[in-house]
Amino acid sequence: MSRRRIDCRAADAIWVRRASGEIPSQAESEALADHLRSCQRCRMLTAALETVRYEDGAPPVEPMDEVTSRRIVARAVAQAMALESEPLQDTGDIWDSRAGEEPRAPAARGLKGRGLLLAVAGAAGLAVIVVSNLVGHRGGGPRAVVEDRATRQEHFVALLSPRAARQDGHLVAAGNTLAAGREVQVSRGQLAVALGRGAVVEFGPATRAILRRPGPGLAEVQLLAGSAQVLVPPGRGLRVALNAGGARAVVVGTFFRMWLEGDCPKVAVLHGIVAVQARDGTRQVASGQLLDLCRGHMLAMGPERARDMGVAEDKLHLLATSRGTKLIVESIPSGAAVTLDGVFLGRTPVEALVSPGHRKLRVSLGGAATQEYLSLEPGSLERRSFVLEQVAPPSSAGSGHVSRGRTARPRTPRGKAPNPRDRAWAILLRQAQDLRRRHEWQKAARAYRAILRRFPGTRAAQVARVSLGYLELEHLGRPTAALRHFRAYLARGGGLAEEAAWGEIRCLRALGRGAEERRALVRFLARHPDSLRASTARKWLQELGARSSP
Amino acid sequence: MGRSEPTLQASTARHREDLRLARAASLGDEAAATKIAQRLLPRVRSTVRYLAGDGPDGADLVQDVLVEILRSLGAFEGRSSLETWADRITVRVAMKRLRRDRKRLSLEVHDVDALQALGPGADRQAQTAIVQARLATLLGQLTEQRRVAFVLHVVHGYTAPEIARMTGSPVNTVRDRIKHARRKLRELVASDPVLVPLLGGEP
Repeated sequence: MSRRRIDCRAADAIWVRRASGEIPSQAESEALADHLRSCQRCRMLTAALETVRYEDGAPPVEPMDEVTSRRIVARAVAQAMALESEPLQDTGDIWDSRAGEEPRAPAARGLKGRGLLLAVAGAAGLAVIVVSNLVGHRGGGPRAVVEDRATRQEHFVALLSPRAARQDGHLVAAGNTLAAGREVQVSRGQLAVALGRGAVVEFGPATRAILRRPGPGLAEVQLLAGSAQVLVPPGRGLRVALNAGGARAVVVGTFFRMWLEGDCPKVAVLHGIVAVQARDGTRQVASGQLLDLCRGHMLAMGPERARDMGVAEDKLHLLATSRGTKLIVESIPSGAAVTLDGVFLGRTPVEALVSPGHRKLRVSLGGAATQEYLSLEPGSLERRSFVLEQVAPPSSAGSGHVSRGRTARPRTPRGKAPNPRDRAWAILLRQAQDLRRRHEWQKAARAYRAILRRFPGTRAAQVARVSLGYLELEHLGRPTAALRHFRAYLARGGGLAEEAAWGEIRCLRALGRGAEERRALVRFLARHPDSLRASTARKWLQELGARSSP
Repeated sequence: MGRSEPTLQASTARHREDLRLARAASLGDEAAATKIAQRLLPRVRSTVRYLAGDGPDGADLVQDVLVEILRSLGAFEGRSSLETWADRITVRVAMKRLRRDRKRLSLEVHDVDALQALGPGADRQAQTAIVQARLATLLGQLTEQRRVAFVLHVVHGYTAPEIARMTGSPVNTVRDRIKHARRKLRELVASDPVLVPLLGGEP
């Protein structure tokens, strides 16, 4: 039997199906192989693509030279560590809702949830609800955002919160963690809380409830008053138990509502079947049914309630699956008003989870303002840093957005000097790195010098010294200035000591100070004998010896 | 495919180790951060090379990607391998930079002339290096989205659904991008005066 002949397009189609994880049939594989044998173009392409395939652990064909790779790793680690290791007081305004005490520094370092984390659902309508709550909320009260991944199972995260939700007497904002085992009170509006694995519980107005996590794969809600509706996606391995008035419903994949009228629990089920354990036995409530446990009545829930629950289910589903963009906005000086599409987000530094899309970001302080159009992608992190140069005098008023939301308890009083805790050096460091990448050497040097001037003694200043040294040496033609920076770095020491020492040698070489260069080379070889630059150092040392010998 | 399939046990052990390392690094352990950076550097460089070129800007970009990865380690939950997680960050950072510096960042591979100077007698490794360098240049002629999808597939062996998840695009769109990228690249390779003799073609 003759084999099927295929052209390039058909071969592409098979190839793309393979790329999609599908397994071609035997005949298709044979046809593809035949085509590759006969078609020079496809054969060449296949051979070319073979060369670019990457295998972890396999040696690259054209390896990066070790000096470069070591340098990249050392710099990346130094930068990342410098950016992470800010002083403890930088995070002093983080509030741990578990403690319920005064704001304090977080227990663990490296926590990502700095500042206020705000959840805005994907739908525009929901966004309005949350942000409008947010404006009032930021004026005061606790801002709980600590998310300790190691103990995450003990906490629940509020997805959507009214201004009137509290735990331990503190306001609960969207994005806050709720401690397990403590009472949550909602006086009006709805509080939606993530239970994990896509499950969400929403408490209605006038509700008191306690959330617990008795074991892995089980979340428990104790309803003390009011109503709760629960969305549990099927097949995710999570059981949710809802207890109210002596009745208990355990579900694995459904959407249902349970509420208390006085002490009498009622259950309405939109999807699936919910088995409710009551004092007098177990009752099953099917889709579209409503059970009154006190009277023992089973009723049809009626079209109006069904429609209402359908809308609620959509909303919770949206909340559970929405992938926001984490937006971090910083500025020098801090305390600038940040608005996104005209909605006030807070004062810098601001950290918010916002809905993705094309948005207009505006940052203003006093008379200075700047704006930028952002393209926010779901699930991504966007960080923006601004330097507001023309800061108005202390008497000047803030922007309209600011005064509207923050007259009660402004976080940074107007006209107050920039807060040194606001990671300004991190912003400057990033700005300098950006400028260096754009080959704007003078501006980059100014930014590095600003770090040295304003934040002496920090790790950022140490990193900046080495970068500035190389900038002065390689691009600005100022080896004397560079030498000063390298020596200042070496006097304090740090992870970039080898780079700094090498920079010192190069400066001395550029300045023609042979005797000092020789001493520096000897020192370098003694301290970094395994350095990849050691062979060059020895060569230069020999050259110096030859030059000095008669 | 570019990735091996480890046994479940080995995979779990490695995940645990990755999580431990990531957590230590996110808490300020420089040794852990260095270990991760060293491990991911070749992979990041490989991706960046074909997405954004290999010049001095490429080296800067590799460094930036590593910084971003190290800074994000606190968010690594071990749901995927550290490499897969890092690839997502690499693509995001690289493409963001490409968009921002579209005019400045050129997809040039600077060493290709030097490699070509090795002549026809050059060994196989040198020839492969030339092919890679030329391909990196030709990939620059694809649209950004097609390049991302194609590079993730041919360099790292991700399937279309995996790429769709990484880039937030529909699977069929990714398939389409890969198909068009392949078609375009075939034409470019077939008309490239450097590649054709190296790949055994006849001009």
